[in-house]
Amino acid sequence: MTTPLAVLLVVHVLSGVVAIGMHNVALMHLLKKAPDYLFVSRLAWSALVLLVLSWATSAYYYVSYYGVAVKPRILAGDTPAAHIFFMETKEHIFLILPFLALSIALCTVYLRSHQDDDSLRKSTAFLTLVALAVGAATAASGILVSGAI
Amino acid sequence: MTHSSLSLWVRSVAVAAAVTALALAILIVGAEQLPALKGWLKATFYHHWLGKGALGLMLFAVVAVLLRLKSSATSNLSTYILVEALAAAAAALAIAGYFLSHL
Repeated sequence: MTTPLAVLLVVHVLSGVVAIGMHNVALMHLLKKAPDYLFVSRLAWSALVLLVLSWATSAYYYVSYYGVAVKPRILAGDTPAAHIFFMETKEHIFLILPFLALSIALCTVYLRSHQDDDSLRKSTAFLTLVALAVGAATAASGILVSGAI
Repeated sequence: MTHSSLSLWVRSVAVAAAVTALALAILIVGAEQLPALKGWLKATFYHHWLGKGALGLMLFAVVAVLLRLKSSATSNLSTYILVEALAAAAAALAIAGYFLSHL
Protein backbone atom coordinates (compact mmCIF):
# COMPACT_ATOMS: atom_id res chain seq x y z
CA MET A 1 0.00 0.00 0.00
CA THR A 2 1.29 3.45 -0.89
CA THR A 3 1.63 6.15 1.76
CA PRO A 4 -1.22 8.30 0.34
CA LEU A 5 -3.56 5.28 0.39
CA ALA A 6 -2.52 4.49 3.98
CA VAL A 7 -3.22 8.10 4.97
CA LEU A 8 -6.63 7.97 3.27
CA LEU A 9 -7.47 4.73 5.09
CA VAL A 10 -6.46 6.21 8.45
CA VAL A 11 -8.52 9.36 7.78
CA HIS A 12 -11.48 7.18 6.72
CA VAL A 13 -11.37 5.12 9.92
CA LEU A 14 -10.69 8.00 12.33
CA SER A 15 -13.28 10.36 10.88
CA GLY A 16 -15.89 7.60 10.80
CA VAL A 17 -15.25 6.49 14.37
CA VAL A 18 -15.25 10.07 15.70
CA ALA A 19 -18.52 10.76 13.84
CA ILE A 20 -20.08 7.68 15.44
CA GLY A 21 -18.89 8.91 18.83
CA MET A 22 -20.44 12.33 18.18
CA HIS A 23 -23.76 10.73 17.28
CA ASN A 24 -23.52 8.74 20.51
CA VAL A 25 -22.99 11.90 22.58
CA ALA A 26 -25.77 13.67 20.66
CA LEU A 27 -28.12 10.78 21.43
CA MET A 28 -27.28 10.90 25.15
CA HIS A 29 -28.15 14.62 25.19
CA LEU A 30 -31.32 14.17 23.12
CA LEU A 31 -32.56 11.67 25.71
CA LYS A 32 -32.53 14.46 28.32
CA LYS A 33 -35.69 16.46 28.97
CA ALA A 34 -33.96 19.77 28.20
CA PRO A 35 -30.87 19.22 26.02
CA ASP A 36 -28.38 21.95 25.20
CA TYR A 37 -29.46 22.15 21.55
CA LEU A 38 -26.63 24.50 20.58
CA PHE A 39 -24.11 21.86 21.71
CA VAL A 40 -26.10 19.02 20.13
CA SER A 41 -26.41 20.81 16.79
CA ARG A 42 -22.69 21.53 16.72
CA LEU A 43 -22.06 17.84 17.34
CA ALA A 44 -24.54 16.84 14.63
CA TRP A 45 -23.04 19.14 11.97
CA SER A 46 -19.52 18.00 12.90
CA ALA A 47 -20.62 14.36 12.57
CA LEU A 48 -22.03 15.13 9.10
CA VAL A 49 -18.76 16.73 7.95
CA LEU A 50 -16.74 13.78 9.30
CA LEU A 51 -19.02 11.21 7.65
CA VAL A 52 -18.70 12.95 4.28
CA LEU A 53 -14.93 13.00 4.77
CA SER A 54 -14.97 9.32 5.72
CA TRP A 55 -17.12 8.55 2.65
CA ALA A 56 -14.80 10.44 0.28
CA THR A 57 -11.57 8.93 1.61
CA SER A 58 -13.00 5.41 1.65
CA ALA A 59 -14.17 5.80 -1.95
CA TYR A 60 -10.66 6.26 -3.28
CA TYR A 61 -9.23 3.42 -1.17
CA TYR A 62 -12.08 1.05 -1.97
CA VAL A 63 -12.19 1.68 -5.70
CA SER A 64 -8.45 1.80 -6.35
CA TYR A 65 -7.04 -0.72 -3.86
CA TYR A 66 -9.48 -2.96 -1.98
CA GLY A 67 -10.90 -4.89 -4.94
CA VAL A 68 -7.48 -5.56 -6.45
CA ALA A 69 -5.24 -6.13 -3.43
CA VAL A 70 -7.41 -7.03 -0.42
CA LYS A 71 -10.59 -8.75 -1.61
CA PRO A 72 -8.80 -11.66 -3.39
CA ARG A 73 -6.76 -12.38 -0.25
CA ILE A 74 -9.86 -12.44 1.95
CA LEU A 75 -11.76 -14.70 -0.45
CA ALA A 76 -8.80 -17.09 -0.61
CA GLY A 77 -8.31 -17.09 3.17
CA ASP A 78 -10.00 -18.82 6.10
CA THR A 79 -12.83 -16.31 6.48
CA PRO A 80 -14.29 -15.38 3.08
CA ALA A 81 -17.44 -14.29 4.94
CA ALA A 82 -15.48 -11.20 5.92
CA HIS A 83 -15.93 -9.99 2.35
CA ILE A 84 -19.08 -11.84 1.25
CA PHE A 85 -21.17 -10.60 4.16
CA PHE A 86 -19.35 -8.02 6.26
CA MET A 87 -17.64 -5.95 3.56
CA GLU A 88 -20.58 -6.12 1.16
CA THR A 89 -22.96 -5.01 3.92
CA LYS A 90 -20.60 -2.36 5.30
CA GLU A 91 -19.87 -0.69 1.99
CA HIS A 92 -23.56 -0.46 1.18
CA ILE A 93 -25.27 0.50 4.46
CA PHE A 94 -22.64 3.21 4.82
CA LEU A 95 -24.15 4.95 1.77
CA ILE A 96 -27.25 5.78 3.83
CA LEU A 97 -25.44 7.41 6.75
CA PRO A 98 -24.66 10.94 5.42
CA PHE A 99 -28.32 11.48 4.53
CA LEU A 100 -29.39 10.54 8.06
CA ALA A 101 -26.65 12.75 9.50
CA LEU A 102 -27.88 15.77 7.50
CA SER A 103 -31.42 15.17 8.68
CA ILE A 104 -30.29 14.90 12.32
CA ALA A 105 -28.31 18.14 11.99
CA LEU A 106 -31.28 20.02 10.53
CA CYS A 107 -33.58 18.71 13.28
CA THR A 108 -31.22 19.91 16.00
CA VAL A 109 -31.09 23.40 14.44
CA TYR A 110 -34.89 23.47 14.32
CA LEU A 111 -35.07 22.31 17.95
CA ARG A 112 -32.85 25.22 19.04
CA SER A 113 -35.78 27.55 18.38
CA HIS A 114 -38.54 25.03 19.22
CA GLN A 115 -37.31 23.63 22.51
CA ASP A 116 -40.84 22.74 23.60
CA ASP A 117 -41.31 20.27 20.70
CA ASP A 118 -40.80 17.17 22.81
CA SER A 119 -42.20 14.88 20.13
CA LEU A 120 -39.56 16.00 17.61
CA ARG A 121 -36.84 15.62 20.25
CA LYS A 122 -37.85 11.97 20.76
CA SER A 123 -38.08 11.27 17.01
CA THR A 124 -34.68 12.86 16.45
CA ALA A 125 -33.27 10.73 19.26
CA PHE A 126 -34.67 7.62 17.54
CA LEU A 127 -33.22 8.68 14.18
CA THR A 128 -29.86 9.27 15.88
CA LEU A 129 -30.08 5.80 17.42
CA VAL A 130 -30.65 4.29 13.95
CA ALA A 131 -27.69 6.26 12.54
CA LEU A 132 -25.58 5.17 15.51
CA ALA A 133 -26.53 1.51 14.97
CA VAL A 134 -25.72 1.70 11.23
CA GLY A 135 -22.44 3.45 12.01
CA ALA A 136 -21.47 0.96 14.73
CA ALA A 137 -22.31 -1.99 12.44
CA THR A 138 -20.18 -0.42 9.72
CA ALA A 139 -17.23 0.09 12.06
CA ALA A 140 -17.50 -3.40 13.54
CA SER A 141 -17.59 -4.89 10.04
CA GLY A 142 -14.49 -2.88 9.14
CA ILE A 143 -12.65 -4.36 12.12
CA LEU A 144 -13.63 -7.90 11.07
CA VAL A 145 -12.58 -7.26 7.47
CA SER A 146 -9.19 -5.95 8.64
CA GLY A 147 -8.75 -9.00 10.84
CA ALA A 148 -9.45 -11.37 7.95
CA ILE A 149 -6.43 -10.32 5.88
CA MET B 1 -33.56 31.18 7.33
CA THR B 2 -37.06 31.65 8.78
CA HIS B 3 -38.60 29.07 11.07
CA SER B 4 -41.18 28.01 8.47
CA SER B 5 -38.45 27.75 5.84
CA LEU B 6 -36.38 25.62 8.20
CA SER B 7 -39.30 23.33 8.98
CA LEU B 8 -39.84 22.84 5.23
CA TRP B 9 -36.20 21.82 4.86
CA VAL B 10 -36.47 19.45 7.83
CA ARG B 11 -39.49 17.78 6.22
CA SER B 12 -38.03 17.73 2.70
CA VAL B 13 -34.70 16.26 3.79
CA ALA B 14 -36.43 13.65 5.97
CA VAL B 15 -38.61 12.44 3.09
CA ALA B 16 -35.69 12.58 0.64
CA ALA B 17 -33.50 10.56 3.02
CA ALA B 18 -36.23 7.94 3.48
CA VAL B 19 -36.83 7.65 -0.28
CA THR B 20 -33.08 7.51 -0.97
CA ALA B 21 -32.45 4.82 1.67
CA LEU B 22 -35.20 2.58 0.26
CA ALA B 23 -34.16 3.26 -3.36
CA LEU B 24 -30.55 2.42 -2.51
CA ALA B 25 -31.63 -0.87 -0.93
CA ILE B 26 -33.56 -1.75 -4.10
CA LEU B 27 -30.65 -0.66 -6.33
CA ILE B 28 -28.09 -2.61 -4.28
CA VAL B 29 -30.09 -5.84 -4.24
CA GLY B 30 -31.10 -5.30 -7.87
CA ALA B 31 -27.48 -4.88 -8.96
CA GLU B 32 -26.56 -8.15 -7.25
CA GLN B 33 -29.46 -9.98 -8.88
CA LEU B 34 -29.08 -8.43 -12.34
CA PRO B 35 -25.51 -8.55 -13.68
CA ALA B 36 -26.51 -6.20 -16.50
CA LEU B 37 -27.45 -3.51 -13.99
CA LYS B 38 -24.18 -3.92 -12.11
CA GLY B 39 -22.34 -3.82 -15.42
CA TRP B 40 -24.11 -0.62 -16.42
CA LEU B 41 -23.21 1.00 -13.08
CA LYS B 42 -19.57 0.02 -13.56
CA ALA B 43 -19.48 1.16 -17.19
CA THR B 44 -21.15 4.48 -16.42
CA PHE B 45 -19.56 5.41 -13.10
CA TYR B 46 -16.22 3.50 -13.26
CA HIS B 47 -17.22 1.35 -10.24
CA HIS B 48 -20.63 -0.01 -9.19
CA TRP B 49 -20.23 1.42 -5.67
CA LEU B 50 -19.52 4.90 -7.04
CA GLY B 51 -22.60 4.56 -9.23
CA LYS B 52 -24.82 3.69 -6.30
CA GLY B 53 -23.46 6.64 -4.32
CA ALA B 54 -23.84 9.07 -7.22
CA LEU B 55 -27.39 7.94 -8.01
CA GLY B 56 -28.27 8.14 -4.32
CA LEU B 57 -26.94 11.69 -4.09
CA MET B 58 -28.80 12.76 -7.22
CA LEU B 59 -32.09 11.22 -6.08
CA PHE B 60 -31.72 12.79 -2.63
CA ALA B 61 -31.02 16.25 -4.06
CA VAL B 62 -33.89 16.12 -6.55
CA VAL B 63 -36.47 14.86 -4.03
CA ALA B 64 -35.35 17.30 -1.32
CA VAL B 65 -35.43 20.36 -3.61
CA LEU B 66 -38.73 19.42 -5.28
CA LEU B 67 -40.42 18.89 -1.92
CA ARG B 68 -38.94 22.14 -0.59
CA LEU B 69 -40.35 24.06 -3.58
CA LYS B 70 -43.77 22.55 -2.90
CA SER B 71 -44.18 24.88 0.05
CA SER B 72 -47.20 23.43 1.78
CA ALA B 73 -47.70 23.87 5.48
CA THR B 74 -45.68 21.52 7.65
CA SER B 75 -47.13 19.96 10.71
CA ASN B 76 -46.07 17.04 12.83
CA LEU B 77 -42.41 17.04 11.83
CA SER B 78 -41.78 14.26 14.34
CA THR B 79 -43.83 11.84 12.21
CA TYR B 80 -41.65 12.55 9.17
CA ILE B 81 -38.50 11.90 11.22
CA LEU B 82 -39.96 8.70 12.68
CA VAL B 83 -40.86 7.41 9.20
CA GLU B 84 -37.37 8.33 7.96
CA ALA B 85 -35.77 6.39 10.83
CA LEU B 86 -37.94 3.33 10.15
CA ALA B 87 -37.23 3.50 6.39
CA ALA B 88 -33.47 3.73 7.02
CA ALA B 89 -33.57 0.82 9.47
CA ALA B 90 -35.61 -1.25 7.00
CA ALA B 91 -33.19 -0.45 4.17
CA ALA B 92 -30.13 -1.37 6.26
CA LEU B 93 -31.74 -4.62 7.43
CA ALA B 94 -32.78 -5.50 3.87
CA ILE B 95 -29.22 -4.97 2.61
CA ALA B 96 -27.68 -6.96 5.49
CA GLY B 97 -30.33 -9.67 5.14
CA TYR B 98 -29.68 -10.03 1.42
CA PHE B 99 -25.93 -10.53 1.85
CA LEU B 100 -26.48 -12.79 4.87
CA SER B 101 -28.73 -15.01 2.76
CA HIS B 102 -25.92 -15.33 0.19
CA LEU B 103 -23.28 -16.33 2.73
